[in-house]
Amino acid sequence: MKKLRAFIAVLVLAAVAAVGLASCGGGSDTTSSGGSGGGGQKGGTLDGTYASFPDYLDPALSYTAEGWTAMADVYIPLLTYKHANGVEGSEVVPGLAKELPKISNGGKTYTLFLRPGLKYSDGTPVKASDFPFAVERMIKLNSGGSPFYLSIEGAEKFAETKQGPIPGIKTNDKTGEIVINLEGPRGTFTNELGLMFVAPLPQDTPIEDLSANPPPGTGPYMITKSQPGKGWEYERNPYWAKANGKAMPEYPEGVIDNAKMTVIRNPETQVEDIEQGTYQWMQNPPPASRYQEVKEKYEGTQFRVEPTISTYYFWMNTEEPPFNDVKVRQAVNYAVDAKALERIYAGQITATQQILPPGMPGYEQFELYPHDMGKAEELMKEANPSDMNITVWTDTESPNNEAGEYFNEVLKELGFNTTLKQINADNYFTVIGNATTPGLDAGWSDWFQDYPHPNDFFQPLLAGESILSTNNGNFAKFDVPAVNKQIKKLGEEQLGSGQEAAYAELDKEVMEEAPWAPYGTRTLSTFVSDEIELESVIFNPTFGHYLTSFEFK
Amino acid sequence: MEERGSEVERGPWALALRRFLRNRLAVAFLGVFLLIVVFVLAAPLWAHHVAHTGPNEEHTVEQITVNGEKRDVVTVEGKPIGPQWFGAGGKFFLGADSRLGRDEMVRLMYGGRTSLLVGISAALLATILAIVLGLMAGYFGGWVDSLIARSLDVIWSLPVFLIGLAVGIALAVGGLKIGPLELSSGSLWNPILIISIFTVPYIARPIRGEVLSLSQKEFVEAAIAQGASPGRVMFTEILPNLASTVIVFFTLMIANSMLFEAGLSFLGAGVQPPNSSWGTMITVGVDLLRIQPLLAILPGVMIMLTVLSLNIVGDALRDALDPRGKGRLDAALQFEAQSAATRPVREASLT
Amino acid sequence: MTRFVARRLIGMIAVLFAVSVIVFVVFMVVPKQNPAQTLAGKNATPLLVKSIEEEWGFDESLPVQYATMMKKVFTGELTSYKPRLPVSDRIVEGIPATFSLTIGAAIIWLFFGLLLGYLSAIRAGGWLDRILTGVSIAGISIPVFLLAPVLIYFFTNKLEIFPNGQYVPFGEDPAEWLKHLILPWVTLAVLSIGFYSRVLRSNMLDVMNEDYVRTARAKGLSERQVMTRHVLRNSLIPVITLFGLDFGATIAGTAIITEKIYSIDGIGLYAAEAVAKFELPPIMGVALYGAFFVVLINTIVDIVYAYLDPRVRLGETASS
Repeated sequence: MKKLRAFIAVLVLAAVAAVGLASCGGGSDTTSSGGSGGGGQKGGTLDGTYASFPDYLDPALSYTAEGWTAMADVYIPLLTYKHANGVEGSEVVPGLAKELPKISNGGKTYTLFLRPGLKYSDGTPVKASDFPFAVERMIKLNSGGSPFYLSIEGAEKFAETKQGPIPGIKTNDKTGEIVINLEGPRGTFTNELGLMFVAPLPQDTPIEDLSANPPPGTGPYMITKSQPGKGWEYERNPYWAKANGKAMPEYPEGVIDNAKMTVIRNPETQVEDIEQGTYQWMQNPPPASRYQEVKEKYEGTQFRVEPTISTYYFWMNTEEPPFNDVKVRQAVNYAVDAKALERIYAGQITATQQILPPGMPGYEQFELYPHDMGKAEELMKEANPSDMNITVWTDTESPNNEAGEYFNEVLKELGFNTTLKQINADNYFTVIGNATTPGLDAGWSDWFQDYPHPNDFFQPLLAGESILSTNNGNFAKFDVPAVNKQIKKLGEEQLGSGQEAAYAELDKEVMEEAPWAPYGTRTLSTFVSDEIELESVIFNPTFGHYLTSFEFK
Repeated sequence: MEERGSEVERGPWALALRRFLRNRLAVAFLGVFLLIVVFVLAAPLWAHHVAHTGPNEEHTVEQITVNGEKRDVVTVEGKPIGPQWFGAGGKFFLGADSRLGRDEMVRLMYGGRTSLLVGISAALLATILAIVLGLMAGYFGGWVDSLIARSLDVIWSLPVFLIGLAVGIALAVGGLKIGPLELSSGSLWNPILIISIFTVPYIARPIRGEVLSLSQKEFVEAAIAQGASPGRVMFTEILPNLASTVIVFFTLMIANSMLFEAGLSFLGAGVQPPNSSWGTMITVGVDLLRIQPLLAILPGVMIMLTVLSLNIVGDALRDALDPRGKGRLDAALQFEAQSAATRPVREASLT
Repeated sequence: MTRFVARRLIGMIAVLFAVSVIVFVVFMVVPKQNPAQTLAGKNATPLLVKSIEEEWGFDESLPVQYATMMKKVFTGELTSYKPRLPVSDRIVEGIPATFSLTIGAAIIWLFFGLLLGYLSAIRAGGWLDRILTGVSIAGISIPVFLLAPVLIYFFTNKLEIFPNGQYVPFGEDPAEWLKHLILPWVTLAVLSIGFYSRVLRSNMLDVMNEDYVRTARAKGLSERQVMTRHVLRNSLIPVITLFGLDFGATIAGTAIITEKIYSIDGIGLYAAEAVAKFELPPIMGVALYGAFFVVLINTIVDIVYAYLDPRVRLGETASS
């Protein structure tokens, strides 16, 4: 008995000691490596977190916000976007090219000149012929971005046969001239030249997914280590100071010396870490459960709300009953209450009921269907649809799944007999985009601009020709000949004030048909630790936070 | 102290019942379990008469009157209201469940129905299958036994949770269509089927062992000698003797199934919205842990209490029906029976 | 004995084959979904989808796809969809984390489980026994995904003693490695301690009533000698074999929920993400890896048990 007691006592002591030993390592300390003691504005190492590893760390393949944010200041295409906040950041400016392209031949020919003296981060000189190589590599890899470039002469054939070269791109390595010929005019091509899919790469770059070992780039920073699933690291590109920075003086050179990104899957943890200073920046916005708290506590000092150009909406299948009746669709628009959705998103969406979001050129505010349950029920009675059994779709990512559940209940209130299906966010769009999926009646969706041109919303989402049997983006199956014609026409023209007014008209016209019940536009945010200078951080609506804009106080 | 005479008259079941009743802890927890059952069965009553709302009705932009004051069910910042007890006449007794503004108390009760329904159905289905398989394997022996035993081995060796998870998600996406059998993706039969398939080996193995040893007993040989068909022998002679094992396992497997379902639901592979179970409620509540810890703790405590009660009762049943020194199985088989009974509970919660 | 081992090895191969088929069928057949579409992204054209199908072989018949996938498993070429990297790399990378988690937790749960079981058994029926049994049963009744967040809430958020999940490799910083693993270890251990304590208690009580134990006492051996030489030794054998089975299962990556909540980059987490993204190659890789370990350790355990307990060995040959 005595022995037993002694034994237990020893055990308890051991347990206490173990806990003590573990916690005396300093607990959650602020020994973050960076901003080294004393006024160090220049240099330092930024420790950031992402909630998930990007889909790819290969410029030719990545098609997500995380990927583009991660590689924005590493791979510079021929053209790029201005390093500025908000609307300014949607402006296309020269990147590796000397100037914006000269467009001729009725909008079918684009001529650019590569700046001389540019080098990749491994010292290889940048050649004009690296551009068509990058385009071909991207198509050979079956990248999700390749459809943007199939309008280049011969690109479609190349995509089928994988045998080059693409006749539509002609280059001259001596003069640095690049001439691109398109099959037909394409008003969005300038924007598409600014996407990382076609950033030039050395011609010995392997034609395979290099996410574990990213290729050399031309930006101020280079990715030096990549551990898919866990994180990656950046260092200064030595050839930026030596060559590229001099050739591209308007491009920011960045302040920090290194950066280390870690994947932390729990957004609550990320918020904790920033508050405690363990990490200095989180790429994704705080989760809905902490959003307001963080905003109140840190806005202005460590937190900033960032508007985006996006529309969050509920689509309805206009091809089949019950949603083939415009009255039913209008009823749904009256029934959806944007105020409720604002609360569901904890204030991270701003209510809007249009196709185009605020901030998009061509946006003009209007509200055709203010929330009115009475009117909605009236319309439903008038329409009296025959088929009241519907399936409602949404993805699993919060708060979109809750928005989906909300929508499901609204439809139930209107009298529908609903089945709700939640699909994992990675597969959601492919499932609802597949014509063979049964019951695609109504569901949730969102769309963030690829570039600031209204065609980017209308063409893939509401044009009749965009209805595909697989990877469909026009979930409403909206196909109105007059609208299709207008979309095509405006898509060929370069964007000017006339076109913007026409797009505003189109927005209203389409909403009168109500293929969607749009409900909001999303705000994202910047949240940094107290060591980082909030003012200097730049959030680009397409590329997110620029690495070159971080500096320690 | 019973009289000698009456003790001789009591059958084994009555004796078991007495032993069970003497275990006050078990009786108490049996009471707890029954209370929980009553609690969840009362869901429609509460919803209709007290809370005046269903489990899935959303009240995001509404306000309720608490002690004369009007308060948001969900604040503009997205914070759900806390427990009101009877301040609003019973509405939002335990507060709102999330930013969708549903009544937590009503959901707790309806969610419990789902959890218990899935748990009990899965355990029942698994037990029935296990009895059939165990009887056939143990009685016929030979290649029948080999086939069944090997199949059970395969299931036993599968990374159970991984496969259950994968199947659960696959079914959630597409539902199931095999010939005439069709299950929609939101059907509760999906998690029930998955859980029962993986639970079968745990029950079937010990039953097989018992059937094996029972098959060699004299009363079975006698029945066969009298010309009884295999079916008759299995169901009339052997099955009744399995009763105590079956009862114990069934009880323990309900607990196991409930934990398994909760785990699957947590990862999105179990009960699908808008159906809710205690498992899905915990998932939602964990996100809001810092704002409203009760939302995760309440369903968690309910699961714990239910599983705890079932475990204690199951344990006590085992003690009552098969006390040490009386009609014990062979040591190896008993070990297997024991480990099989407690292992799945542990494995489901381990993951 | 060799026949026994040989039979088991053949069984192992059969099981692995069955697992691969089941996983393949579940993922390819049930959801009726073409992975090429997921890979093609949101802006795809039919041409792009077709190219991807050709590249990955999704346009082949199912048996051919199965054969190709198995071939890739053996040559180590099995790649995930996004990013397109070898599955074996990630599994190998995940081993240190999963092993650290499992071994540490296993030591804790075995030690405390046995301790509590022993104490319960020698004080059977008393108040200590009742309390420990209650604690044990309570331990196995808690859902992991409730225990972990609550622990995190108290120890990381409120008290700030422990860091917030993540895994730090031992080679990088042993102190951090330990600090980051303590909460996960405790989480896993709490659930298993109860289980082992009850099993040991039950076994010990059975053995203590055996004739040979009573004989030993009658012979005059001290209580301690009786305990250690007879009771414990015989009660522990089944416990140790059980431990082997559980250990195998955990190493196989079944601690999915724990790894997910604590964001420990192990095999369980890799598996969870692969299932969520619905990518067959990583799931096949993890399932085979897992099944292999489970079967391997099961077989070792059976061999050891058969060696230690002749009754089982003989019993098996009689009934099979």
